[in-house]
Amino acid sequence: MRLSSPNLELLRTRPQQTRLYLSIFQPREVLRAQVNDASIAKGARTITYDNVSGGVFNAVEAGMTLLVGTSPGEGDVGKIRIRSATSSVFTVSENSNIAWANDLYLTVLRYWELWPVYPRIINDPADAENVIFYKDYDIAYTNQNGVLGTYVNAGPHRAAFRENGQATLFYSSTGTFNILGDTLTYEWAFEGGNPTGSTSANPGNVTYSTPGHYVQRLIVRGDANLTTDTRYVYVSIYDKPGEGSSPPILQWELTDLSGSRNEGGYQASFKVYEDVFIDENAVVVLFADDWYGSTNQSLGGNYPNAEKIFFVGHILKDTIRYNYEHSYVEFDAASMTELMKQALGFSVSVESKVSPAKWYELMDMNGKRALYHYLRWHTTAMNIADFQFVGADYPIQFFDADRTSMFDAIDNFMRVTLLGQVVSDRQGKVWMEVGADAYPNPTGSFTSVMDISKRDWMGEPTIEERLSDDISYLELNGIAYSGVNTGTFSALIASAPGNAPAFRGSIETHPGLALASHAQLNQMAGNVWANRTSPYPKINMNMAINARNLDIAPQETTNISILASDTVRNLALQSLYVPSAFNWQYNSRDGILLPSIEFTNLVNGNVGDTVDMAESDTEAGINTGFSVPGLQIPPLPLITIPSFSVPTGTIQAIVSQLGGVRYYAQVGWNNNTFFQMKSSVITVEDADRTGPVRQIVISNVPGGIYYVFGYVRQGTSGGSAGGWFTTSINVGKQGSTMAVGQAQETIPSGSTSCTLSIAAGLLLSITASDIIEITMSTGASGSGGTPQDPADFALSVMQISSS
Amino acid sequence: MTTGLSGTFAFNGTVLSLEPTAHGWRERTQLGIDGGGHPVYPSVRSYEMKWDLVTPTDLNQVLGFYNLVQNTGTMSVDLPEWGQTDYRFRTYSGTTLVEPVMGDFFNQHPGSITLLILNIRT
Repeated sequence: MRLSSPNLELLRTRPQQTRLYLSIFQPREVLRAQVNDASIAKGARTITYDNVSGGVFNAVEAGMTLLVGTSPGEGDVGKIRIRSATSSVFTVSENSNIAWANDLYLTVLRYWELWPVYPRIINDPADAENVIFYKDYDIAYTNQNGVLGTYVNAGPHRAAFRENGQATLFYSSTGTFNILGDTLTYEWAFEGGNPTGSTSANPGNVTYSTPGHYVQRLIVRGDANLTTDTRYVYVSIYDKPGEGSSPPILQWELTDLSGSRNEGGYQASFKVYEDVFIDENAVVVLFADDWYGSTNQSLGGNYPNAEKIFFVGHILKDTIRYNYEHSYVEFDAASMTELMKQALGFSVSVESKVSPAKWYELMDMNGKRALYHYLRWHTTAMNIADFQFVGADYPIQFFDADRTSMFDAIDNFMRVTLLGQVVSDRQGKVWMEVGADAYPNPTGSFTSVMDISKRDWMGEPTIEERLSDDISYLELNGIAYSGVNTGTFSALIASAPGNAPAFRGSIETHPGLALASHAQLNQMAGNVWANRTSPYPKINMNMAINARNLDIAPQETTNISILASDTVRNLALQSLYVPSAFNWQYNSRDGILLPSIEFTNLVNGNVGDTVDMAESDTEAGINTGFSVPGLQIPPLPLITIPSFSVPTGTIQAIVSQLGGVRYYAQVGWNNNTFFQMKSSVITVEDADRTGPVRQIVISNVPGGIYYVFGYVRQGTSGGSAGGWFTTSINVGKQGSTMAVGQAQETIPSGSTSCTLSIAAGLLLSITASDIIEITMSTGASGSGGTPQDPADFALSVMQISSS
Repeated sequence: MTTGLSGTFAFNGTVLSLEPTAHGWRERTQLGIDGGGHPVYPSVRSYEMKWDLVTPTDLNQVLGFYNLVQNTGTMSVDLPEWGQTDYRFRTYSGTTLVEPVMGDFFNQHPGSITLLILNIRT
């Protein structure tokens, strides 16, 4: 944070002393009872209870933690989130991990913690082809995704000493943001405090006169009370050591406290030598007394008037270990983001719509809205931590989160879509930030909060130098989506340093960005490349001051000035650097709290180049940037009649069966003609000329489809009534009477020729064992007609496809 | 801090029955040298008292002072004031005590007693 000039000078006043105090929030019980259901089974969601031995059911609120155990107050069987309570029934969240049994002990704690919230999808009983979505098992969609709510900020969990009989804490809703810009109403409840409540956005100071552990609550409602978002803050009030009977934990040790932007937050390790209740997810607060010279004042922290709150974390499961020999317990506590890494959520897909009507539709979606939807309806994280989005936001059409940890779901979205990150600060606020290097003007957007020079570090800073580029070519691409109302898309690609790569380094691409324009993308590409290739990317320092004004989030810069005489390298350097990692060392004996800080360079780059793509189709004025290629029907395969060679001798043998008819037969092949015979004269030998006169047998015919057509010409006129000439085609074994086609034509009077109707073609389906038998006969039709010998005929049998 | 009695060691107002044989301000641990060449020190100091030989009663008093605060409490101690041109005492509050270290007995008298007082803001 940016300090005033006087405070910045105070920050540098030495010697410095910090006295840290450890608080672990102790939730109180609100109800004790036992399961009263002999038939309760795995997966139960409604828990009937009796034997209430403490508390009242109407003190039970939605979201509280229910311990299930084999003895009073224990949670050895499990714990679950309460959805609602009556005088005899708890409704809890969906579960399969609790072995419910009659008479198990139930303990409700006045405590809200991080839970995943599961969706449920069922078949629509009214429509077998439809499904119905629910959130949190039974919350049906009404209008939730169209009346979007609020990121509620109420400050960190905190602890404080009574001084002169009371402790004073400051409350503000700074950072609260309503998605739709509604006019908000605020309802604060200060348990244990004075005043007991407020309807102001920034209530200011609240005093506590009695030591204890209290839950503060802020409810924020949007226009017409259509949305309600709730935030809980845990407060612990103690007596100073030696000044009362309620001191904080005194016998303890901080063995490690470090954090980084890459990790997304902080993690601390503790040893406690006292008998104190410690449970997973419990809130841990380190609060401080500081002296800068002789001035007793604390500095730093992102929340207003909470400078004494040094670190807020949550005890991580599976890190609690008891050392019975030396009588201590050790555990790790970490930022909310680390806790979110350990909780798995279900996959979520949402599409932007003008008027959402389903759980998977969201109104005019952008990054903030997508993240709010995920956090609000799939986690309870926003109940117990402040969340804030920082940076430029753009419309997006789809939001998809894998079935992954809660943290990865939102962090991956920020990284892929906006080149951002999700990072928790030391006091526990979660910042969802667009990366500084993705800004159009990084150094102009992040002005220095502090100049750092040699008086601020100990020893020599370690300056990392990049002697050659890690990346020679960076390509960023994504979609500029105009939003659901206009629904236009532009696919954009930019490269940096430009279309020509640098000469060393790898190639890196980053697809999937949400963008505004090519100008924005080109500048972003240039800035990102410049920051990935800056010559002095990192500086590490052991600080000589506690620098509590600096943190890993939100992003801020310091102006580091290193003179040539400051290091043995004789290197002069002055540039903006972002604090990106901290490692705190606490010496409780001497009251020393000093960090080692890693700083990451922030520079502006030259604008990158547009990567041209092929013109996209436009349709009705819509630039369809990405056009779906038309359905390409592959061409039908050509019908190829394989060449076939019929032994000439066979044909001649066939021809010879014509019995001496004076003809000539022509057999020839082309690509599609299997058999062709042409005769000039056929002598009719039968006296009545009515029966078959000639038969042609074609054997060894390959299986397939054949097309048969023929032409016949009679030598003389058919007489007054014409004559008919019949050619029948029989397919089958030789001698078979099966006919598959027959054609008859009457040669009209006065005509001398006609084409057989089979000239139109006759398709024959031939198997390999078939023999085509072609029979010709002549006959007379009508009276006075005289059958005539055909003068010539031509017959073609063509294979058009093989079997 | 208040200006206390001169020449008298006291713990929470109780005067020591036997003045230490040797006593003095101890050197602060240097944390490092800043970029300007200036040493970085913690802001608090420590004071050490030693007795060569004490009676069991004297030892018991010193142990009693420690037991008052043990591992969790703080003590107001009257000590020779740091950084003065004359030998005067001053009361320093909020100090912590390290458990007294005892050497061998000599002729039924505890010997080589050392008491370290920490967290003294001067």
